[in-house]
Amino acid sequence: MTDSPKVKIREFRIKGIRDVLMVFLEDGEWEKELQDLLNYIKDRKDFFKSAKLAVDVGERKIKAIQIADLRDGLAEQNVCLVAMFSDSNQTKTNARTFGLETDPENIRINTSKKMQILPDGGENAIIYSHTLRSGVKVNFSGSVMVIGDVNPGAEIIAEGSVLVWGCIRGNVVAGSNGDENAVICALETKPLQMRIANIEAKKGMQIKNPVKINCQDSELIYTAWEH
Amino acid sequence: MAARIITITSGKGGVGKTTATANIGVGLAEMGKKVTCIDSDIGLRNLDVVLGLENRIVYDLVDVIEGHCKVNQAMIRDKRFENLFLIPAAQTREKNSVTPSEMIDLCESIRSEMDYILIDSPAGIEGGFKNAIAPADEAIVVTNPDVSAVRDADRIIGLIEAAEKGPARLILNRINPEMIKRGDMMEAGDVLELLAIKLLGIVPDDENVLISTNRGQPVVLNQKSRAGQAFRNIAARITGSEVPFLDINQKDDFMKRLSKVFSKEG
Repeated sequence: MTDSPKVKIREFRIKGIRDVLMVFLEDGEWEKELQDLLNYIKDRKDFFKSAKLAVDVGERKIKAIQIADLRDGLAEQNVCLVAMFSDSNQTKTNARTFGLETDPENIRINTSKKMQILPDGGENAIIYSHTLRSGVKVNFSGSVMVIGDVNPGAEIIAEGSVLVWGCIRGNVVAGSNGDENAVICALETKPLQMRIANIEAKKGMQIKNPVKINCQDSELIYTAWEH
Repeated sequence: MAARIITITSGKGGVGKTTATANIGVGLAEMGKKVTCIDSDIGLRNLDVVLGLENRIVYDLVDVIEGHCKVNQAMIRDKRFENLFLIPAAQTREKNSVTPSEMIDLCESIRSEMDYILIDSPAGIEGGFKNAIAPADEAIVVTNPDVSAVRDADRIIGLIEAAEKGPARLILNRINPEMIKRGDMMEAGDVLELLAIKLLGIVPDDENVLISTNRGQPVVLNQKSRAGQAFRNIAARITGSEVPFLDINQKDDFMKRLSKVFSKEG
């Protein structure tokens, strides 16, 4: 897909709140609205580069899968979805399961205190504030944080680091593009399979204490987390 | 009166969904609640057998949905409790003869007449499960303390959450204290730690379950069976009562009961 001048670019209302860009979606078919928004952002690549985006969807009821589509579509454009505002409680609940902020006040008042997806050296991260259950696959171009467990049958493949505030029991890959600077941290570690870059963890390993795992000379180093 | 619609599901087959549905249904009926059990396992119907009602089936779920009969014509009244009904699944049809919205319409059409509508889900995560979960207000996940059943339960809990029917509650079926002691079975605590949902009940492994299933007399009616007691407790918890959990390590053997009698008198 190269530049196609034929695509008509619709304008969206944009507002800046602190370091977050807020965009207002209109009522109408979700798929079309989503596509229009992505086209709009694509058209203004430089402006939106590495931006944190909040989306106001009005009364629209958004399903979890639609939020995932939006987030992934934005991530492809190097835009990070941080918040979704809506008058619909269902939408808010769904947005929260993706770790999105749903209260505009929190962005307005103090962004630093809330857990958010902050670019770290230009790298994106995503937070899951619930346990990843069997059948869930997270494939992300940045780092992944999980507040909860990663259960057997769940899978995280991150180009960046993986931080789990819980127990890793499933499959985790950090530095999936071969980045040996990526790390894995977890409160408890008993994975089915685990890898940083191309270095595989030993099968059947179990660590019951918080640990940070990183690569050194093509080996995984486990450092107990004591503070 | 507006019924609570509860779907009983598991992911994996053979963990005791149908047994649980039958026993919870009978347990609730015994407490005087008006209950309809719906078997949504089209093509593999079992609930009628477990309830001992298979020779009374005239119309089934698909007949209602296709308009061949009225819903109350397909509701089979239980032979023990006049406030317990069964809508059987069609045996000669396929799962895709029903859609989720048709299941919702069916349940809504009888919701006002019932206290509880229990839906027995088929195994799997495809169409049959989606039909069963669509009308639900809440869900109960049944699992056994083995690794594959727990893995499937975890998957299905995720799907229930995604369908916005969560949080599901858990029945841990067929716990065998002897095997746990030997370290050959997952402990209840391990299962709960992994699944991280609220426990509704633990049902001990009990041969009475199989015996009563074969007789079409749900074990919940057997006052001496520990599994029966477990299902009575589960039914009570569903109605909102606080019932302490059974001590699964307590053995049901004669000597122990004897010693209990003596200790009471002593």
